[in-house]
Amino acid sequence: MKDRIALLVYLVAVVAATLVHAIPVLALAIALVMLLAWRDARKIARRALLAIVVFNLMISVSYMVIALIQDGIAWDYLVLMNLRVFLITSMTFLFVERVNPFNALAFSPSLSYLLTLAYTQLLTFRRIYHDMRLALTSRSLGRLRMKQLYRHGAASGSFFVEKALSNASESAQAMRSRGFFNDQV
Amino acid sequence: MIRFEGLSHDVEPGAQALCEVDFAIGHGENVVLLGANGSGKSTLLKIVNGLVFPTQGRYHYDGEIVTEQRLKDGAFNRRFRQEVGLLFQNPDTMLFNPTVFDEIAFGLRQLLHKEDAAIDDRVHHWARVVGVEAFLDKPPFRLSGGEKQKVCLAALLALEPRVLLLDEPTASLDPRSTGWLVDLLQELAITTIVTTHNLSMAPELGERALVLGEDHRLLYDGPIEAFLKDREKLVAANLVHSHRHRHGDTAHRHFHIHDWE
Repeated sequence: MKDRIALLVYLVAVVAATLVHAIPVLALAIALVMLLAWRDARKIARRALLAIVVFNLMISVSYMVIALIQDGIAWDYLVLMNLRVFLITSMTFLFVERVNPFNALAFSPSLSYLLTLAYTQLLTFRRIYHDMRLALTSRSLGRLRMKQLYRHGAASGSFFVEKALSNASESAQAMRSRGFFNDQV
Repeated sequence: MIRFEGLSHDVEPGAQALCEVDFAIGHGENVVLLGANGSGKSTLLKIVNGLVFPTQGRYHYDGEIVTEQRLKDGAFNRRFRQEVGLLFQNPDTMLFNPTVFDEIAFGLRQLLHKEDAAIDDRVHHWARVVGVEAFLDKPPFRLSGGEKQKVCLAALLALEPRVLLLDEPTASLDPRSTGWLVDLLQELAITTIVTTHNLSMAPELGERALVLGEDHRLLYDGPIEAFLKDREKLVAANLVHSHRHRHGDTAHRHFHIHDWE
């Protein structure tokens, strides 16, 4: 029950974060999340920052370039957008850290199936990605060049897309085989 | 019970997985399906399980032609899914329930609509038989490959199927569990079709062999012992290989089998 309430609070907080347009309120909310995270605050802030840095930099720089050509940069908008993304990502990491998602979704069999499938894929992909990194290290002498890292990233990305599609099709067949879709027949 | 009649399957135009395959399997027969990688073994099992369908020819199950259309009949589909179970090569693809208990109970709830007490009894029975009773409250994705394989097997056996299809079932098992699986399969009085790469294990898994060639046609259908003694057919099926190897100071080359998973 505790996990289910936490899920509800998290979902309401995410929606609220998208509706708030005041920078001080978002900053206060981030402070509150860090307070709730307490000893894990540094870890969660670091994870959230790493998760959003590339995407947000691309968006922010693109926005700045276009805004400079047109009618000038709205700094408050830029800060607001980045704070909002950081807040939602931090809340998500805090939720994952503190709540058992399987308990939270136990009320719905369909959501539980979906979560289990996604989690199984996640574990498999994490293991494969770890092996890929080790294989790259094992085949490399010294530090890799940026070009090589990009190539490795692109090859891994394309592998995971293909693997995800093939796994999804195999899982759907296995579920059909076990009568999962029988209600629709 | 199971009959393939001139059955071909194209994965996509120009890429054939099975070509004009004919065979019949009776109730209670234990068949081993052999063939090199890519010869169409997994596709054949998926056709028997009504997951993919012939491009040409027919597949008969228990006197009925199995087609996509026929499986849209709810009553037939329910009976077919309960009677014909497939253990996939990768157990991860079969697991989607939050606990091992729910995983084994899934088919009982979905296909047999059993009462909770009956489900509980049957789940515990099969969990005990395959040796996963200690994990009933655990999420299946936390188990080892061999344990996952056993959970999948329990989930299929709990439905008391008439036909059990196993795609490389020993691939994730350690030697002790492999021995256990052979014993279990020999005790089951049901039709089984098992694929394996392990030729020395093959005679333990069935008396009859169906062998697919690299051209996706049925190369051999008969007693497994006779096939394993037929070097010409073993070479044609690409199930033996030749390389130089040493006996003390002398080195020579001949066809031989290595059992690998």
